[in-house]
Amino acid sequence: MQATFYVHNDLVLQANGGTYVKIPSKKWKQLLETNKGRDLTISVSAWTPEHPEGATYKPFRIHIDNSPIDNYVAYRLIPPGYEEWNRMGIFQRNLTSFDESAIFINTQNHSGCVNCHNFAWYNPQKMMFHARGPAGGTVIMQGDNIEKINLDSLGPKKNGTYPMWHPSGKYIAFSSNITKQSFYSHCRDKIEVYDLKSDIIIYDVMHHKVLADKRFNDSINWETFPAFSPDGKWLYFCTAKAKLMPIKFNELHYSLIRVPFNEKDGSLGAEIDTIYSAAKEGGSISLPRISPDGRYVLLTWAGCSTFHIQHKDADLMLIDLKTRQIIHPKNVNSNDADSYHSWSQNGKWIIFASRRLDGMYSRLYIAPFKNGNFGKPFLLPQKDPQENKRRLYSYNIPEFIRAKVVLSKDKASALFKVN
Amino acid sequence: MTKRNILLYTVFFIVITASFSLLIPETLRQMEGSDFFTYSSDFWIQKISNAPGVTGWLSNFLLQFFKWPLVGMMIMSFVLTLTAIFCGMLPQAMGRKGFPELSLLLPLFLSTFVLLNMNVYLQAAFFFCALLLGIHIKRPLHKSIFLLLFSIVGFFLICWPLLALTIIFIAGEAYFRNRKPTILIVGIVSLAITIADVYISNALFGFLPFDHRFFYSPIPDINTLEFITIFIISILLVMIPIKELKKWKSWIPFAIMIIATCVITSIQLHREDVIHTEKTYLYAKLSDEKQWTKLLSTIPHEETLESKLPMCYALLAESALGTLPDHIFDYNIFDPEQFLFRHELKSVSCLFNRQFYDNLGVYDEAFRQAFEYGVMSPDGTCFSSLRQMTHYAILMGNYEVANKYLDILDNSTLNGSWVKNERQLMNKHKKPNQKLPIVKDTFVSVYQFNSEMIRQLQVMPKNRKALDYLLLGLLMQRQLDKFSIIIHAFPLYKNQPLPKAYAEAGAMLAQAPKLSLHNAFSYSSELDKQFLQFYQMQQQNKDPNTFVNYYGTYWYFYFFIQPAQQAQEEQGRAVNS
Repeated sequence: MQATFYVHNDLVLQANGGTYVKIPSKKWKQLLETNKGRDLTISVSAWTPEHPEGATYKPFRIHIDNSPIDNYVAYRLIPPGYEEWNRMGIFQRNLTSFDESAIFINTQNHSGCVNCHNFAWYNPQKMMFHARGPAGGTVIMQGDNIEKINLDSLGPKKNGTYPMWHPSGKYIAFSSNITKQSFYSHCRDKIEVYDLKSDIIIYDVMHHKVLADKRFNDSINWETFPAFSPDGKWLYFCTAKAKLMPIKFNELHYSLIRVPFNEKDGSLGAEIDTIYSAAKEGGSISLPRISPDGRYVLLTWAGCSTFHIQHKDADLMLIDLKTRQIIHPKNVNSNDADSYHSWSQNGKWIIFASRRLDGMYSRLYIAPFKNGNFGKPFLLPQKDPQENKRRLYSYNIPEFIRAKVVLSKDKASALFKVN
Repeated sequence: MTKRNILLYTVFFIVITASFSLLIPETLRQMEGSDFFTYSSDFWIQKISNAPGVTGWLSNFLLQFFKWPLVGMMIMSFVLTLTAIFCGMLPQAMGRKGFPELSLLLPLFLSTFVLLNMNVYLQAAFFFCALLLGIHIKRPLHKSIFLLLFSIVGFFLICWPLLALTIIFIAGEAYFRNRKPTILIVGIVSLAITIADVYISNALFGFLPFDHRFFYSPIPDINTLEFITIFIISILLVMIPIKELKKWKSWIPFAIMIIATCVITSIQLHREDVIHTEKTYLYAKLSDEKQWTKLLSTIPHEETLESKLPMCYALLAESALGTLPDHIFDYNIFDPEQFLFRHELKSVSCLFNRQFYDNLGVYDEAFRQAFEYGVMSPDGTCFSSLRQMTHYAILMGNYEVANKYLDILDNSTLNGSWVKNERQLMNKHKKPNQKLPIVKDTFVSVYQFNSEMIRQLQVMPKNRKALDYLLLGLLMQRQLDKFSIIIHAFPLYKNQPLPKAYAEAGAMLAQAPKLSLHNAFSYSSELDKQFLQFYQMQQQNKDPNTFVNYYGTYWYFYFFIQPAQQAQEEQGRAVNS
């Protein structure tokens, strides 16, 4: 196999390989650096026993963007499960190479579930995640200081599920969910993940306190997937009228609201601003993520319910917070589930999970973003492209981070020691 | 090694291979099913991150050969025999007289108490191989190099306690032979390296659990001290300087060891749990091969009355053969929830549940159960799970997932021909035309069994198996009115004689004009009279013993079997958040 790279018809690189082309890393980085903002035309030729004389595919073009992307992305690797799991963990990938390393794997917490990692404003030194099982809890890492807290033993005694760290690093908003799942038969979707209860709580990281606003802690409405605005002044979350689950699952429609957040004391303001009304616009939304400039909110939309990565009709949806215009970015969405997404720190890129490859195993896609429009997404590159097809794990919760997370395996594991 | 010892090891190899492959072939076959191996970096990293990594990887590689139980067992017996040979050669290597026949005791112990554990057997073989090599090397410099190298390589081959024991033994033996302290220093340095191995591996590869770093036993239920002691005793036993026996007496140790091998192997293979496991896998195999008549004849009826799993398999075979409504009340089932293992997340439950939903034609649930089965296997997925999921994915027209699994299986060692056949099947298979709804209230294991079956019937109104399960479920719950409504609503039994249980229920309904089956279904009106006769007798005499002739009828069940408690409506299954 051979690939030739041209810029303005000038040959700039040639690379060879067996079943896939191996591009020398140094030359590739050099090529990108010297050709920023230009188009690269690539021509691929292959020689097979059936075609010993070789065949050349139609050339294609890729654009080298001027905007940099964060160096690392953290994600969870998990079997695309139903009820049980065996191995899972939170991993990080260097986006300037193919290096992947584990941040925390579930052999460190007696094979318990590891989930919902989050960072304070892309800071790899301020990270949190839940690790369940014996001696389970929520791990909060701040630089060299790593601690495990049990949210359900603090304040209102509620568990923490989906998190979002305040950009200041002083608070973490959690939804507190009792989550279940049921399994479809004879449907395009296979699993329905739903809540039997969900509220919003705020954890004060400095003072180890949990705050709960009564308005968002009742049994009439369910609130989930909190997200802070980048300036830290608003807390966004999804809310829906509680339904009898799973029987009324298709009557469950989440809207998006926001309330002012007071950074001084962690309280929520009186105003409730509805950004997306499911009753008016239809469907159900989840996972709001605000662009770093505060202008847009990127959501996942599906026909009903809350856990959209399991819904084949799930698509990414953008709302311009200035004009309240709803944008359905067709060029990033697919016929399969397109869900968990996060913005790069400069707001020029998004990374999201999609099941478009095979409908079951979610893979990561990166798409550029400019002036309210997304560019064509591309699959997270792997050294061996077959890796994206053959890996028996799903990628989940991709979060951009500025640098590598350094978390001592032994120190983290010691938190889960059981006598 | 003497010719007699060669013969001894050969007989040991043959006895072990033959007895296991003849007595528990299905258990052996299943070892391949629950194994996983692929030439991928993910798999290599997964194995290497758990000490001893190379042995773990090699063990998975070799387990693939249990696809053919005899071949797999030959490999396993060969590893055990090698362990014995290496152990038996130790005295000679040390220049001593010994009792090599006793080297069979360790493999016998391992094959008895650590049944079919390739990983542990390989570690034992590597341990004795390393000991033998280390002792064979006589030049101090070469021995030192060997010790230093093995302190690194050995970390990937054997558990730390054995690694430390190897180094201590080789260095100690050399010191006592030559009285030169250098080798002791090399031994101490080598031990230090093995400690460093643990931390380096932990830093470079996956996390090594704290209790799996230094003093631990790879054999469950045996602590580190006992584990080490077993290996030390094995070495000491072969060192016993036995007096040379003459003529026929020289065959006594040989004969004792052969008899011991036969007796111990026989006892072990006739253990209740071993037989139970073998039977389970046999039933599972016959079920997968859809040999329903053979399955029914293989399961003794008494077994179905005593234990749930054989009963479930017998009922599954009856359902597949279409005879379930004729024979249901011959079995000890009194609640439809007992048709399968609902809400049970054990591998054997998932194995059966998959076959249950496969028989019913609910392939998404069969796929899920296959997935759960795989997750519960030691490597988080396994060949049988992948093969089954591939097959269901093809049946559901989900070719992308099927292709993914086919690619992975193709990247193993022995699945090539299966993959080829399945690809051919996929090419011939017609993608289902039916456009599936995105979501629909067809949840599995959410509702009570009967409610689930009615939902399945709404999707598959011509599915007679689902109808049978529903009708029989209603009969078990004594809901004759609903039985009548359902049998009329899904008239799959029109224009043919009703099966026994339905006809007997029909006889009970004959007196209720609105519910009677006579207009729409055919069964002998003689049965109505028989029921009236039974009913009159039952009103006068409540003793079930006087109605033994009626055992196996719905009437006996209705009047004499204790009704099952109504199961609670399930609200769903807990998840990992």
